Amino acid sequence: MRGARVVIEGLSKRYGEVTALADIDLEIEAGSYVVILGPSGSGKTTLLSILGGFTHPSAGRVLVDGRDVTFDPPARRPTTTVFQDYALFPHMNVGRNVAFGLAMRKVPREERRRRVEEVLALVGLEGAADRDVATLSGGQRQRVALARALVVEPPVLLLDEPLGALDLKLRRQMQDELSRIQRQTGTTFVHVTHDQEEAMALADAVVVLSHGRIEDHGPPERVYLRPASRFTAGFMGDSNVIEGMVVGDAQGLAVETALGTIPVPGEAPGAPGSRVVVSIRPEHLRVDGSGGLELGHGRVRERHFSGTYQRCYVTVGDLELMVFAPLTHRLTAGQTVALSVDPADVVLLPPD
Amino acid sequence: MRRLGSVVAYTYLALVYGFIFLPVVALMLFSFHDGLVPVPPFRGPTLHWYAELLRDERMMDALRNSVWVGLTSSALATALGFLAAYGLARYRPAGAALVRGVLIAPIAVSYLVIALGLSIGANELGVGRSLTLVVVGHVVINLPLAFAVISSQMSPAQERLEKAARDLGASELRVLALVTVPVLLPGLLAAFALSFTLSWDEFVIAFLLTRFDVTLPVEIWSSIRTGLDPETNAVGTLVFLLSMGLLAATLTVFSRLRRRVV
Repeated sequence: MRGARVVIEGLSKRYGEVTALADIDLEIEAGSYVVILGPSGSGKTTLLSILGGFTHPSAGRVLVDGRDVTFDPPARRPTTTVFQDYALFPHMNVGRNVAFGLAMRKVPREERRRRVEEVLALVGLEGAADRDVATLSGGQRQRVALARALVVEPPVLLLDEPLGALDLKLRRQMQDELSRIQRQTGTTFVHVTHDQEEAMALADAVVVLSHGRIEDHGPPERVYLRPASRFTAGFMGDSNVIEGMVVGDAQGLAVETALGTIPVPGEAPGAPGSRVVVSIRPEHLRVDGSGGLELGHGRVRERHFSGTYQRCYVTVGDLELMVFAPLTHRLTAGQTVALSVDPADVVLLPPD
Repeated sequence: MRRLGSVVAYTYLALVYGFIFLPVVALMLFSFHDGLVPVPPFRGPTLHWYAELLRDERMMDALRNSVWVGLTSSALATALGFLAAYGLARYRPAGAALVRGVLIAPIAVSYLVIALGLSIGANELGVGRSLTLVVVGHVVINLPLAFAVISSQMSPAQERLEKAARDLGASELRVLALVTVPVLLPGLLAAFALSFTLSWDEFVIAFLLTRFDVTLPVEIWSSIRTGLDPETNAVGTLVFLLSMGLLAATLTVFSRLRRRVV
């Protein structure tokens, strides 16, 4: 099996007055694991549905390995889908479910049996072919759905919130499985979710979608550490977003905020006088004075223990900041702390 | 006090069931009566009247006619009800609610009106009264029920199953044959059984639309007119038992439906 390269050009979808997708351009590398991340209503399901051939776009094209498949019906596409509710055929056992796509392709019985066994082994369900679908657990159903979609060796596999129905522990476990299966098969995986942790754990590239537009697109680490938009900063993990204005001074450009003047580390986000927002992750705010940039003193208003760190709300002037402080510096509510940050961890973004 | 209450309750229950089932029990009992007229005191039992029934050509013809009318009209009603339910659920045409309403509406129309309408219509077209016309009448009364039963079994989850089948390369015909119909089978069987039960003991339409070849209820009615004998009880007993059997089968299918995941 080998994955295909998917190119999406100027894709739009309108339902009457409602715009589900607005002029999407996206390139998905062959054999990569791409996660489309967005809140409900962001258009991510519509995008997947267009890729699968279940929805026709209002404008734009979808190319798979250079071939225009925009209006090809699902049955004749180089894609298969793992549905959110798995959609396993209740009147067939596991083996017949998995063999369905092969039977439709008129694959001879012997080869069918061999390939079903192979793909069941791939998803960790060896010897389950004779089991009744109704007797399977949620995680097992998920694996059968995956096997059924993979057995026809699609160049592109589409996954619609595939882990949404599983409990947290099983979800994390299945994430590792999906990652392994994707590497093993080399198939291009396009996975839709609203769970940013899932996205970061799985993706080679994350596409952040909001209101039918791409907010950000890149490797998860880059998207998390240096988000391209205010929306991404807030949606991919927690973030403190502070309004500011670009000012010029002797050393160069800086941003003036309620927390003081913050020097601009890289290129300028705008000309002096333009409005920007400053985004600082809660885990980047330090309470031990180790950051190079002092942000003044604040009072701890609330402190919650959360296992690996303390989640605090610290009041600085009129601002309230979320701080994830390490347990080595035990804080208590009412205490005053000196906040600082490494200037490299500060992200400047356009104000929307 | 509580004891008295439950005594009253059980007495009431016994009276209600007695009122409903005593005639049926009497009918069944006197089908085994050793005598010429089914009146007390009971003598017997004997299977004489069942033997008479099997030898009765007219009754046997009517039985065959009833079975034919029942099977044909139920098959047609189930097939048409399925197509209507499937089309409305999957393609959601404009005015679907209205179409649904018009399909269900005949439930509220009296059998007499349906029979008279068909009779007049057939006359106008120069079509004589026949069992075929009864089949048409029974399709008219059973289609709304078959449609309602099958419609109630159509779910969005099934639609996703069909989507999955298409995604895996199935043509529309194969989606229907390999996924839609098998998944809906309990609902289709329930619709068929219900239709057959109704057709089986329907009298008004069958009476007004037949002439020489008649169905069992019509034949029983004419045999009662010429006088009571225990053979009528015997055939009544058989009709009742077959209806009960079908009802039990339908209920079994339905209780299985409720336990299903999809």
